[in-house]
Amino acid sequence: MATRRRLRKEDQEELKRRKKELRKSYEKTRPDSKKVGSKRISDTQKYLLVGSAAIIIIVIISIQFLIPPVPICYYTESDFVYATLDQDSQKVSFNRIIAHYLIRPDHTEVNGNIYDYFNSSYKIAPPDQPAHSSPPYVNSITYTLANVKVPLIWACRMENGTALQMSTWINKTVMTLTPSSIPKNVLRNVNFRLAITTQISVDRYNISLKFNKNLPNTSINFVSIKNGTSFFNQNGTIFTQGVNLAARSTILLDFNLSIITAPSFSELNFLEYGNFYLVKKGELLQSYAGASAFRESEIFFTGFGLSDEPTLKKTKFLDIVGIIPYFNITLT
Amino acid sequence: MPEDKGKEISVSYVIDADHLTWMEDRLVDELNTFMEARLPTGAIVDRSGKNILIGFTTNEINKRQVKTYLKKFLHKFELEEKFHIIATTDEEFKIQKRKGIDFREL
Repeated sequence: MATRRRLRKEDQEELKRRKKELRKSYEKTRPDSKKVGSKRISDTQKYLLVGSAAIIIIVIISIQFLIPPVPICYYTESDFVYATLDQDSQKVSFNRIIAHYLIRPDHTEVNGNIYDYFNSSYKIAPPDQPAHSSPPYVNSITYTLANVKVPLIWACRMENGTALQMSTWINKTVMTLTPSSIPKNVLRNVNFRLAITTQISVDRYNISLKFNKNLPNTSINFVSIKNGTSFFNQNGTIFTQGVNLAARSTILLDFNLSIITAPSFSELNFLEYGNFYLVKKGELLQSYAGASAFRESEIFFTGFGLSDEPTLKKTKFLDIVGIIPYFNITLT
Repeated sequence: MPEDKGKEISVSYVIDADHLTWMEDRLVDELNTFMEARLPTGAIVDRSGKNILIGFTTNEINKRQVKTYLKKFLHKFELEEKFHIIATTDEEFKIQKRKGIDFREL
């Protein structure tokens, strides 16, 4: 009996083995056989999958819209190389403006526009790299710099009165002279006023003006300053500084000039140079990226008479250490 | 069976019982048991998902005989009016729901 039972048990094991062998054989011949009752994705997994896809799409869209665009072109500085005052028309005209642009290399094509305010001709000095082509005498010029591979300093030099599109934190600079007519050989007291309006609020500002020390028969006295403190040094330079200036505030600097001019002089340049620096959150606005990311402004330095103003409008580009132009007086 | 130990077994017939599961999954097991009981010694019957696999070590039967057993199965379980047997390939049968029978009536 025991032997028979053992045999039955052996037979059952053999049968199991055979069945297993049969199944293996079937799976070999039918590779798709395993798909019977294959695992399906559950509803929870489906929701998770759809949800995560939606989140990824939202994140991508947010990144596209929330991250500020990087400016492609930085205006860096400008020089008013030469300016004259027409006493009859009471207008100062800039004979030359040099503007420097730094163009970022990560854009293959950059466009810039320069407008002629007076509809008069001007020359544009080509940049160092032969990357642009434009007719030299037109009212509106479009520069196209293709395939910029390295940071490019781009200088525009314009002759005669022009308007130049650039950018600044300074909203307006006004220089006035009273009286505007100065007869020769007569001692006259002339009031000179420099008004600078800031575009934004600043924590601190610093202005320095250097008057031409060697002007004959001319003495300059500082009269007043509306904001901040100031002092004059021996070299004829005035420094002034102040704090916490609200947006669109105007800094007024008044000077009194005692002038006796010799007949040989027909033109007097009493302001040698001037600089103003605006500081916000401990940084010079030249490199203050936080406030400048979305700032777009446009400046038109227009020809202006003593009563006119150079209007500096908001523009696309940013950052400036303003350089106050030379101020010449033509004597009668 | 001991004399068959060395012989490799392969699938001789496959019975697709998918439609049976629409009625009751247990019927596939019943079919497995039925075929095991009917087929001669040396036949191995096993279920793989919705299929019944049949292999032979000895005494292999022909296709007609297999179909006869399947018909007998349907008769025994009174399923003849709802299902019929069709040969889909040389080695495969399918227990197919009859046309005109809605699967909800199964």
